[in-house]
Amino acid sequence: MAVIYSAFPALILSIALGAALIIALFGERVRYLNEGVTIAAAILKFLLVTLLYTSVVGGAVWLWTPVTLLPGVPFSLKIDLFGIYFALLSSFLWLVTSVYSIGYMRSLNEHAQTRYYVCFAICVAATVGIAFSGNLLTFFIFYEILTLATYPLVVHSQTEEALAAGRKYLTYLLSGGVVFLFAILLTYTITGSLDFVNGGILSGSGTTEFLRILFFIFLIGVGVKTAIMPLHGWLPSAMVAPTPVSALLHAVAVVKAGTFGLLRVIFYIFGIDLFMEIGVAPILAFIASFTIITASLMALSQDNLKKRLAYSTISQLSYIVLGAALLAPTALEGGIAHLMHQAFMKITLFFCAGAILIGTGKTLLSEMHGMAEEMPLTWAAFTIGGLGLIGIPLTAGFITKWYLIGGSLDAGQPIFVIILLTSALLNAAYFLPPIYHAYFFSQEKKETLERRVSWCIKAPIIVCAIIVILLGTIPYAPYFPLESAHEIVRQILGI
Amino acid sequence: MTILDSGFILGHYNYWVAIILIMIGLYTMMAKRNLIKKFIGLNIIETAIFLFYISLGDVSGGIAPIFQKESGETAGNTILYANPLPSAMMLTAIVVALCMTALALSFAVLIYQQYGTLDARKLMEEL
Amino acid sequence: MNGMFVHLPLLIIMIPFAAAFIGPLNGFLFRSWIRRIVLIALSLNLICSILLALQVLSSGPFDYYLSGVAPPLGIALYADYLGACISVLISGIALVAVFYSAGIIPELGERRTFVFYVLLLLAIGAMQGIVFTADIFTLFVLFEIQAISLYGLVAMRGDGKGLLAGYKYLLIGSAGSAMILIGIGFLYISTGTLNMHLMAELLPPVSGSYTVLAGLALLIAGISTKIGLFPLHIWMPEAYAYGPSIFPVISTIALKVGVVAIIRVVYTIFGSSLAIQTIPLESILALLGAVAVIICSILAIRQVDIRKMFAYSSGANIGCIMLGLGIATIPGVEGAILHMITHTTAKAGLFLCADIILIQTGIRYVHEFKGLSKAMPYTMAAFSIAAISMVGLPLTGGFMSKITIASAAIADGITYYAAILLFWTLLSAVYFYRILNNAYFLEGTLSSTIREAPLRILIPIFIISITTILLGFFVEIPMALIRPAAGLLLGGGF
Repeated sequence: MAVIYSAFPALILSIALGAALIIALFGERVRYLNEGVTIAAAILKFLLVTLLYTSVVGGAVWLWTPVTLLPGVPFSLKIDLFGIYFALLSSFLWLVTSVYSIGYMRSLNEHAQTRYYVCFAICVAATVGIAFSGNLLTFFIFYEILTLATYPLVVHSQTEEALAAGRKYLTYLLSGGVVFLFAILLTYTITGSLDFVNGGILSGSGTTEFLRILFFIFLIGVGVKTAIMPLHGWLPSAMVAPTPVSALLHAVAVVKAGTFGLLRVIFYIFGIDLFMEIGVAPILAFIASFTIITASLMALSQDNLKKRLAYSTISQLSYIVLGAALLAPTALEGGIAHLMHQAFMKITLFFCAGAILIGTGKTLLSEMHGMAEEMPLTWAAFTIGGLGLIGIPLTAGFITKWYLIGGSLDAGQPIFVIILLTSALLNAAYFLPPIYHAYFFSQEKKETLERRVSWCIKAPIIVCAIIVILLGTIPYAPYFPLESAHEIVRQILGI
Repeated sequence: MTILDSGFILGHYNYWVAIILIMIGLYTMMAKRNLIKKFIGLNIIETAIFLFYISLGDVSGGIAPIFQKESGETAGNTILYANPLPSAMMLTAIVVALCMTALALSFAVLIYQQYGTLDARKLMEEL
Repeated sequence: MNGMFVHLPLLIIMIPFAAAFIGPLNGFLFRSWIRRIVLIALSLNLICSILLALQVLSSGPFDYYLSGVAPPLGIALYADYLGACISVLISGIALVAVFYSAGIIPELGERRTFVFYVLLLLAIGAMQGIVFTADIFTLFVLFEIQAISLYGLVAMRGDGKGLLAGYKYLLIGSAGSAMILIGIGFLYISTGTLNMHLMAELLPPVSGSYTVLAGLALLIAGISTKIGLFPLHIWMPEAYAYGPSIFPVISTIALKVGVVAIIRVVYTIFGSSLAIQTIPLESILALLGAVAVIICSILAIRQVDIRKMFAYSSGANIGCIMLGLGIATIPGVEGAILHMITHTTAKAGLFLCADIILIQTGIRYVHEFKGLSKAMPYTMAAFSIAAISMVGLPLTGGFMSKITIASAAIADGITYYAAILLFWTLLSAVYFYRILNNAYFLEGTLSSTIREAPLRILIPIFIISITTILLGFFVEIPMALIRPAAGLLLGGGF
């Protein structure tokens, strides 16, 4: 394992930050500056991350520790396989979402676009920072920056509803952040270090009781962003945000940062051996299963499309948590792969929701009967995404379910198979009816807002939908998530 | 000597005077409503402290701390001086108290010009 | 070269005083020159402070005897890490504040501006003296110089409310001074000396007696009135709200200087006695600090005048520093001193931005902030950075100091104090959120004639914002001074 000491990770971060600064200073005055800088930065970042990815896959680890923050804890950017995996996901989806944002903002002629693009850029910088963090403190810094930077995006429309949702958002996330910080400081005090190390740093420091309590404090801290129940309350309310924001929040930035953080804590702070020793895995699995089922049930009752997708997200995120809690390599692979799979599927669905909003102005599912006639492309993509989440073969979601089910059987806990299958059924229950209604019902003739849906919006939808299928049909292709997940799990288990 | 021993109490009478004066001053500061009376209370406290310090400087059997030239009969004997340091400190402190008094009284004058009253309770409502 | 540096402590104290006396002389001729005199004096002061800090870093602390007379007969100055560090802080922040303010302060008028600057110089000189003195009576005298200057500064506007606020400050402050004086007296009786270091040597045998304990209690109570430690913070809200707008910046520095005095009392004088005496001094300080943090924050939430809100916030932060000092371990004291630096920087930034806003728009209340970010984007940006540091969110100095104190608390076993500190983050977020939300995300009824402040005025607050962020990142730079300071203080006091 070659360690490369270089400031290159910082360079990637500064691209996004530099973009934010340029947009902030000049965005109001120069036409097309917002969009141009955003796209340019997104492309540049994606290329650089891909370059790094090939290097890290080859066995290198990049490290940059410029300053010490606390004794023994530097500000550390470290790129290992798990980190670059997450960064690859974020940078690609940023590119796609940027294109989509341009179309969305222009079509709806939104206000405060400069602020939107600035916060957007900061968010992506924060997410990449989270991916590249080498220790818990650096992670926390970017974590909180992410919270702050997403707030203006959530309250973007500045209506009463948006501001109330924003307050709720901030309350949940900041409180979670404070609890997280508490756990971090506890860890620091007992071990003197906060580095993410394969195998964890906590082994041998403290009684099992104490470590269990510490784990649960961590769980509450990152659990808010991971939207495990009952800490999920902010997510449905945050749907008042513009669709690209919801897409970003639900596919990449906030929720995945939480999940990523949870996995980092479990495998790189506690370490898999300690995690098995202290016996919290069954409780974690229970919480995950509870969330999976309950969130799906709540999705059934939602008429607002984005809210239904929100609850679906909450449910899907706990697949990843379940993958970690099952303590079987196959399940873990499935969970880590699902980080990417769910991202693509969900973002496709949200992009479709946005397209529907632009094209017809509708947000409620009950009003979307027969819409497939008008918007065939959108609803085809929606179908692909929905089938993926259900877990139909040939889609990415099927791969995930296959691995998770395999893992539960490996771990000798068939009850989770039942839970996963139930979840699939529930997913079908809330995805299939809208699709059915869209295709096979005739349009109730009403006054509809017809707007041309620009290619900026259609292209990302098509791309993401195709990727969902690709992930499902050729999952073992090089650089696809499954291979990386496999390698990551191998490193975690130390084999 | 315990605290209740009469020798102890009488021997430390300077403490008692200081304490009583400080208490009077404190009461005045808190209970009186007129701003100037409040400040007089503060002055009483400060005076009590001055007295206390100066009394600290007293050495029994000591003479005033002015340097004596040694004449024939006193040569070879050590001369007991009272301690000049507390008095010196209090000179400084008295000057400080004077500045404070000047400042407080000018405040009081200006407040009276502005509000027409020096009643603390009425003035606190203004704030 | 070494010979010249020896005189730096005295120079640092004397420059502002000298300028304060030159000022009125010059002022009869050119009144408008006073600001330039102050700027020159403070710049010289800053240079000397930095030189002294470098000197102390390279060759350790040193004594300086006034007139070459050694204690116990003479008065000594002691330049150590803590003194040098806070001295840089004083001159730095004061320089930025004066650089920001104008030749003629708008709310004061020409004649009063002149008096304002002279009093400011006196206060700064006194503050520099307090951080360097090793003689406890000199400490008292300098405290009084600082206090009288500050009382005058509060009432500078000459309007009724300012006068009342000044009078309240005077009463409470003078009561505190009286307590300090008695406390000094008691310590003097018990040890026979006024020099802090000699006192520290002479104190352990008598440290259990009532006299000494009473003296200690009176000293801490008295100094607490000067630093705004709950419940003696009650002068702060009105003084900050009704005094001139720049006053809170100076007062913030003065609060920290008072904390230095408490450190001197608790650690330098009582340092060696702490181990053997029976009263848990540190625990009491920590408890007072924690109570201050919570109660002042709750009081802050209820305020509508932003300056009063910030005053209570300062009270909470002073409580935090006390908490750090009360956790008498090296990380705790380090965190406390770091917090002194980060809080002063952030609060100065907040008050300067508030002053800009007041001058440009006349806004004093939270609800008037609506829509302000569109009219004054740069000011609000600086304001936001300072606010984020106050709340204690990452990438700012405030975050680093808070986690240092919190982890010190956990390491010392008093984990609930860490929980209180972290909870305090959420409390501060509540009242800062209100202001920022109003400014950025709500529409207001602001007059369309409001414009952003000119560049010359924005530069100082940008300097402060950048410093705040740098403190969060390059925390090792101040720590180079703070770490030896904490080690010195806890390892025997001097």
